[in-house]
Amino acid sequence: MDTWLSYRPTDLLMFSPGSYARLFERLNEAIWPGHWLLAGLVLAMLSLAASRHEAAHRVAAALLAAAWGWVAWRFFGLYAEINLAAPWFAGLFVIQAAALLLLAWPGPGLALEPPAPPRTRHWLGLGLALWGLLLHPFAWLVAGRAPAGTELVAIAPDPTAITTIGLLLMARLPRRRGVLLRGLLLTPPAIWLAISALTWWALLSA
Amino acid sequence: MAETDLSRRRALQLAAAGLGGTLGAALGSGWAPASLGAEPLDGECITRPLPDGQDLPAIGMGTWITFNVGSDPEARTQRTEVLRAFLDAGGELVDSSPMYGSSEAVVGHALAEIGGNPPVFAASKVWTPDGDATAEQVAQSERRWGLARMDLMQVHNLVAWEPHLEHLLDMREQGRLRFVGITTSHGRRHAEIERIMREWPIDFVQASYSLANREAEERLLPLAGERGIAFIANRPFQGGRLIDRVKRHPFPDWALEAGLTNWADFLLKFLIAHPAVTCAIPATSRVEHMRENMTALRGPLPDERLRRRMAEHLRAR
Ligand SMILES: NC(=O)c1ccc[n+]([C@@H]2O[C@H](COP(=O)([O-])OP(=O)(O)OC[C@H]3O[C@@H](n4cnc5c(N)ncnc54)[C@H](OP(=O)(O)O)[C@@H]3O)[C@@H](O)[C@H]2O)c1
Repeated sequence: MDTWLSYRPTDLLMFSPGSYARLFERLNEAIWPGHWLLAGLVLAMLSLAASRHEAAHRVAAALLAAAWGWVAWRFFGLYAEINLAAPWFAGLFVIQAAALLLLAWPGPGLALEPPAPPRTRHWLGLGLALWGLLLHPFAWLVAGRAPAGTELVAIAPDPTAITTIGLLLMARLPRRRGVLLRGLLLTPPAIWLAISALTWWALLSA
Repeated sequence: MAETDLSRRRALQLAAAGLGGTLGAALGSGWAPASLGAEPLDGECITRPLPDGQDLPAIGMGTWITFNVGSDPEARTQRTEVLRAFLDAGGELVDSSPMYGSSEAVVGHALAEIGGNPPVFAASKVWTPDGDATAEQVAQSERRWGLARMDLMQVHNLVAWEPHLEHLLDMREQGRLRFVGITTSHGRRHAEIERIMREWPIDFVQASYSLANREAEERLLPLAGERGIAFIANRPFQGGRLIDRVKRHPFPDWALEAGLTNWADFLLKFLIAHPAVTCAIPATSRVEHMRENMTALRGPLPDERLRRRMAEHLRAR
């Protein structure tokens, strides 16, 4: 019998589902009560993006960039202990942080000004942003994780990527090259979500 | 560990077991099996001779996935108990690799926690495409395990095997290593493994061998026996799939009558009863599974007739 046939999806991973879940518990425990500060920063980012001032839009984009940089450093720093590929994933988050900084300057910043009436893209963006910010952490609690093990935006990579995609879909970008710009900014979070989906597929097949 | 006389160590260990763990310490070996009082282990360990004539207990321990828990203090403490249960039951060979993330460091941490210089046969691997980084990786393993010398270094999955083997054999020559080996877990590399076994003076070969994957019996095991190369059976439970499958069925009475005690014992004794197998290395993250696995280190081994029956029984499941 070919030994390859004896492998299953979990064999592609070098860690157990339990060790992966522990990452979120340990990270949340380590930064508590910093969650309040992070929540404040996320709220500030959202209200700045929703305001009418260009300077505020730039700060909002810079704050979102900081979230990506922080996840790259803090989450993937921990993940690297059990996954040799984690530094590559961190690189993806650093690239996105840099791209969002370019959006902050010289770009126009992150402006959430949907046209009236909003288009499908905006509704989809709103749905994803709400999912990343609220539903995702809640879903983990429903799935049976302890509150300490839940995944929150600006701490865990999945809700950060989902929220970012939502915000970018809602964002007003310059008419010229707007489609290209949006596409480029959506690429790293989309790649991460594909990697994460594969990881979960393998973990859940354990 | 490497420098210690293995048979003396084993004698000390058995003496220590007999006297509830106090004699070993008194005699100065430092480490003594602690929990033997709680779970008396009857009978001699099944051992196999190594290429240098010393004996090795025939059940070892793998660390892929199971010991890769990073710096998590809770998980590290729990894995320390897994290693302690292994050593208490008379196990020695622990297999790891730099490919297994934090596993080597977690083993090192557990050894330091257990303390007293336990009789570990430290087996790790060289795993880098850089053929000049062999000595560096050996030194890295020594650091991570907290040992002065590794017992066995294997070229992992034949990555850059030629330069690594040359360097490892040199190191063995200089006394910086006890044994040198190669590993694979894919059937398609068996031809290459075979060639290396014939042409290079290696001490160990490691490949997948389980009741559900007996490909190694065709060429590798006979060749290992013929050339006096020690054979390590990896993935004895097929990464867990095989033992999960058999555990869904009741344990057969005829196996109990033959002296086998549980499914882990069944699957592992089948392997170590092969005359060319030196050691099987199941991995586990749980103390109760470790205890089950270590039952295979004692008791009667199945003869050829019984082995055939075991294989047939499994085929029917
Ligand atoms: N190329 C290479 O060099 C190579 C390739 C493959 C493997 N290896 C070595 O061989 C070792 C063994 O292979 P492996 O880890 O892949 O697979 P394995 O030992 O065949 O199976 C390990 C799995 O079996 C489960 N298990 C262990 N004891 C059990 C018990 N008594 N009852 C129920 N489940 C049990 C473990 O889960 P629990 O944690 O829940 O017990 C774990 O998921 C590796 O750890 C590694 O050191 C080397």
